[in-house]
Amino acid sequence: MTDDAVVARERRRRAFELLRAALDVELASRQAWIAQQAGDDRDLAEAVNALLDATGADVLDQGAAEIAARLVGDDAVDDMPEGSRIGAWTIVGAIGSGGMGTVYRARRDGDGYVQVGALKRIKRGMDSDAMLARFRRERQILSRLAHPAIARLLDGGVAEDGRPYLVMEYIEGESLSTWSTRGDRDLDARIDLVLALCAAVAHAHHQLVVHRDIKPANVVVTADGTPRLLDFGIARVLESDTDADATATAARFVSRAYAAPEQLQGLAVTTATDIFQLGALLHELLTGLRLASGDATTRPSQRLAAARERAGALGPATIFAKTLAGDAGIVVARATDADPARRYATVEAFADDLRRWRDGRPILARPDSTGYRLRRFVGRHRWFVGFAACAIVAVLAGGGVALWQARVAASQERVALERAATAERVKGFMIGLFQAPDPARARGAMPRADELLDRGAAQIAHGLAGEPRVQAELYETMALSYMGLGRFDKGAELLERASAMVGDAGDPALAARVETRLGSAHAELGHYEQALAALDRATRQRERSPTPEPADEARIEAVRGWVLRDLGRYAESETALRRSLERARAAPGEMNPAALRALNNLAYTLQLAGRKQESIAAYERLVDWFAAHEPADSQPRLWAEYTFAKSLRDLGEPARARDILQRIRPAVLRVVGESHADLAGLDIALAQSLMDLGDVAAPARVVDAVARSHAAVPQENMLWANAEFALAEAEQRAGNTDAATTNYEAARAAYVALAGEAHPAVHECTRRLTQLAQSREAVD
Amino acid sequence: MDESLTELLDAAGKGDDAAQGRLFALLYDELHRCAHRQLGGGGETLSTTALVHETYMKLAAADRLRLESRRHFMALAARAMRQVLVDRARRASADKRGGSAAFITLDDRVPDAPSTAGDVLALDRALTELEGIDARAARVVQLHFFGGLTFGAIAELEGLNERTIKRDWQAARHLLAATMGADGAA
Repeated sequence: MTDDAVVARERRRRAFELLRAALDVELASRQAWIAQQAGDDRDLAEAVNALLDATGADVLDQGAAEIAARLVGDDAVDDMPEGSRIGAWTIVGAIGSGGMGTVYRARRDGDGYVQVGALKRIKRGMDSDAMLARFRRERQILSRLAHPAIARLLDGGVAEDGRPYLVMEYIEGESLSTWSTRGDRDLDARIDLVLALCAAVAHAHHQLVVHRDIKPANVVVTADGTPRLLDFGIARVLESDTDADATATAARFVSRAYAAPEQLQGLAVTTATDIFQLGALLHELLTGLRLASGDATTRPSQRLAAARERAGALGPATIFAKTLAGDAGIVVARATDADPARRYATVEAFADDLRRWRDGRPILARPDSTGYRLRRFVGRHRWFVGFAACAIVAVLAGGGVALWQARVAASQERVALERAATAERVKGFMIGLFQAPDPARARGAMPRADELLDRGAAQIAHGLAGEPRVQAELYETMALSYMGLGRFDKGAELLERASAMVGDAGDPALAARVETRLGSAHAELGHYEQALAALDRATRQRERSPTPEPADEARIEAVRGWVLRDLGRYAESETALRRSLERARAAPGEMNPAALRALNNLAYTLQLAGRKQESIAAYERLVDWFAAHEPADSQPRLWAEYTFAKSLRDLGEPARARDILQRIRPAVLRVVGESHADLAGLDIALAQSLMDLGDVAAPARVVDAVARSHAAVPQENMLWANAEFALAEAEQRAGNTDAATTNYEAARAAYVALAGEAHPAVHECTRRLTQLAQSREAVD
Repeated sequence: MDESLTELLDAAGKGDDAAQGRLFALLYDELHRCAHRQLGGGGETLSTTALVHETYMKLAAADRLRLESRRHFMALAARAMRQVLVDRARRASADKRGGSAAFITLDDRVPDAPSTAGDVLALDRALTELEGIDARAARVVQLHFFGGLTFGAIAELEGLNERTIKRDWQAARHLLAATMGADGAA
């Protein structure tokens, strides 16, 4: 070692010593402490500070064994030799293998045809819950997408060994990287290719899917020059992915070289992320160089040209630097801005500007667009947007109205344009809501959610007269938020107003949606006649729609089935729910949320109708599906298990009911909180099961839980009546004949008020009241 | 096994290079086997601790090791694990370079898959650098990351308190990150 090297090492040792000691010093005074320790040796202080600034070495966060497994996996034995069968597919050979799984070429022999697909499955040892969840998500996402430039999902399932697989369209072609290195790809061909990819990504965005990993390796170009976008392995569904960890997890999966800044920083990933990656792809296709970060010294308009210059002979021979100077540079710079809010608002806007540039027309990108300002606003008020989203999700999960796909599926241009305009107006209104002067809160404090709602509801009528469509959408949004807070009365009131506006607004799909929601709001309140009337209007509106969606009908029938069940009309309820299930199945995904909902409702109706075996079979199917596809604390899964347990108790299987309820209670508590009616309902069912099993303390627990249920749901709806009935039963078991009589009478009155004299529960109350009277006489 | 583990460790501890070499080879093979077996068994997720522990149980089943021997063993096991990883990473990155350009990258991205091998190699280089700067901190990284030992267990082995070990780890992370960053940019 030379003397210099010895000295350098000695300095590094000192720096390290100082660094270690500095870590013990509080952050606030650390800098000063280091400076003091280093004294005159400024370089030393600087070296220590540089070390403190260094972060990364993320590889240390993973387990060494996990990494070993992944690396070992690369040469794991191929467990699917040629000729093996998986589902309907026969393996032809392996195509490639990644760390997580292997892709095989597979064929399916049909009636007179042979289909070839790319079959993908997870490697042994890689099938952790997280990986399986990711795999399932990819499958669900692919089933949503149908676009000529997106590799299609052909099939999927679970193999005999329990590992899932999916089969994609097998695409003959070359990777985009290979394609682009060929000298004869001229500017037009390259732009056309990016535009085709934009169309595919736009389609995905319309389905609320973000790809998140667009890069050359994920694009295949077929012989006729058209691209296919592959790999939705880390894609994400925008509105359903409420898991905050998902973003962080996915950040680990992203290919770093092509990641957008927000992905590297672990921030929210949105459609803007895909726009960044498309911009980066365009950069690479036009210049031959990967987009490099920190190239801020050059003016945006010159960056692309400068990159082409740098690439020299490595860049595409048919494209010259001067061609790329000016607007092309601005388009790429705008798409790849480090701040997601400054990028193009939509893929379409990006594609449009690209087309404008190619055609020699002026581009639309501006230094500071309205869209930019608007999104800055949303960024600043994320808490409200977050609240609204939470409220809506709560309604969807609790009330059972899953996402309205008509909105997404609306492909007709006119409707889409109108809706976009409406959405803009809605946004504008929301902004106005925040800006409304309010002297009481002049010092900048944020208004509370319910105050905002009240203020908004009052303003809709005044501020937007003459725009029924916008008003209706706003009323609907507000109603969902109220209902998310448990205010079904307010929700129904606003939906009634929305209903009055959309009746003739010329958008039957929207009208059907509003009416269905109104139906469920009334059902929550126990206003069954009004609920049925709203549902009838929903059906009529749906039929008037030029493109009636099966999913819409599934939703209408699901609510109808629920109302009819509460009314004790079990046969009609069953018919409606079976119809709902059938229509839901017509939508993509073997078991979409609508189908699950219908099945859950059907199982409950069958239980009430006294068809024990069928009911249990339906529940078991449902619960098994959830167990295989959803995490233990997913709300729909908990709901399914809860209703199953409740039915089991009523069907005379209290032990099974108790086991389920005790198992899920902690998760339910976590999800809904202490004072929620569902937790009280769970505790009622649990105490009832224990009571059936002979626990003498159980009736008191029922009484306690009923009190909590009544506190949570003061309206005398079906839930209230059921709780009252449970209370009566507990009093009866505890031997409190008088109290039991009073409670049965109260329950009976509630049932009559809600569903009429003919309701089976009314008869049951009467029967038990008679029993009580007889036993009393016997005592007397 | 011809020699008992204790004998081997004793010999290695006395500076017998041949014994040290045999011991290392033994561990290296055993870790490889464990990793493969766990993978082939399916279902189970791998953990470093489990791997090293299994190796330890297997090799040390016959005789309980004294603390001194245990310390030696753990250090060796961690080093063997590091070697397993580095060898794997070398092979993986060689595959990548000469690899087929199969466009089906459907699942190419297990956490940072393309860079995992590179990361491991960069870490190995940075750790070697650290060994020259602060041997104890390097040992802590090796035992914790490659050996899967908790800070508490390392503290016991080193005869220091846990807080000191954690400080070592923290400081080492900064230095490794700095070295790896410079490495990547070069």
